[in-house]
Amino acid sequence: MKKIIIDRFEGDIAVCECEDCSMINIQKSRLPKGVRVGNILLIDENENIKIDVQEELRRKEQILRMQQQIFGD
Amino acid sequence: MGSRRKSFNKKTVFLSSAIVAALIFSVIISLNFDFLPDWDSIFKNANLSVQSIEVPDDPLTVHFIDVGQGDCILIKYESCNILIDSGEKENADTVTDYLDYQGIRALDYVIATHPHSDHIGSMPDVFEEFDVHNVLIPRLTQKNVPSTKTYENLLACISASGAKASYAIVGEKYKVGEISFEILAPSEQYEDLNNMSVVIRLDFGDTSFLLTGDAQRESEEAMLKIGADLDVDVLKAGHHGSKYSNTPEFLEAVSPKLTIVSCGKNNTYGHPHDETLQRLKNAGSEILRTDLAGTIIIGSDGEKLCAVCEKY
Repeated sequence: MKKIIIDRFEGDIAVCECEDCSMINIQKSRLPKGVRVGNILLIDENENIKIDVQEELRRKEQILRMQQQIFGD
Repeated sequence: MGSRRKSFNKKTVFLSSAIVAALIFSVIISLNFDFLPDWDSIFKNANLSVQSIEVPDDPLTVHFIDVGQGDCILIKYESCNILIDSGEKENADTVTDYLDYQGIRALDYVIATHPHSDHIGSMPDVFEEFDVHNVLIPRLTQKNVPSTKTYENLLACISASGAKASYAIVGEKYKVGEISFEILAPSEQYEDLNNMSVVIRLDFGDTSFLLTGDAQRESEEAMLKIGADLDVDVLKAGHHGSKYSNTPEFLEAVSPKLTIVSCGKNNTYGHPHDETLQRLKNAGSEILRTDLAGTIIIGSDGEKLCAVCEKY
């Protein structure tokens, strides 16, 4: 199982962050319809892709809290 | 005088290395191998790129460091050093070696324009090697905060460094000696992180720079709407020269004499887009590109500007 996070879109290309923070480019057409920046994608051996919404929300909350603590919101 | 001699010696080393490389290269060509290193990789592997550029002898220098497809800008003024973005993580050595070579130990300001990997990927290495005093980032909210480790790592570094951490607020002006920089964007919240890019106007005497990160049409329109002072001499093209940035209306207001495009050679995204290059020509701007010229340094004495490129 591979886990990647969509960092951004550059035209038709989804630029994704791998678990070791290296970046890969994936054609948007190869990803499930409606994927968005920030989505966490779980890819199994057969290239089936699942979007982990819970993990995305958990991480976003945690990271926003971290930002607010450092920057004193 | 000492540094001049040093630079001469380095040039000699550089020249002889280049001759040796050229000989090896021509032998490889004559053997007709399929895999041939290009000059870029020869220069990079020999770590010669940093030494081969001569920094103008001006009080202010703005360095557009060649980090491939990404942004990394160093502003040097007297003993003050400001770093705007750091390029991808894979270019960390390029950035830290460059700063080292410039004799930098501390960074007075680090500005992370927005949290995409091609702008903040190497920040952990920067924070590890240099003493950072102040950090500026855009204020992100629940609507646009990234879920990436790259952003989490940046925050962790800022926290561990003890640097003074502040959000970039539009209208705030920072003065260091005779230079000043002002935050012109983002004045609104956007879902697209490119539009959250911190945009900086830098002034020294009669010379000025506009550094726009990846700001796109929406942010450019907002800057026009709030009446930001956009007219400058040197523009860093928005978003590596994307056609979704650098709109004609924006370029008309900026009216740059020179535009720097920071992008990677033969990058996957087609940056800079032809439309942008045409718009810049229409706006009467000269263009310098890091994919063609390598690292580009602009020197300013407060009246005149000069440009030095790593590759001619």
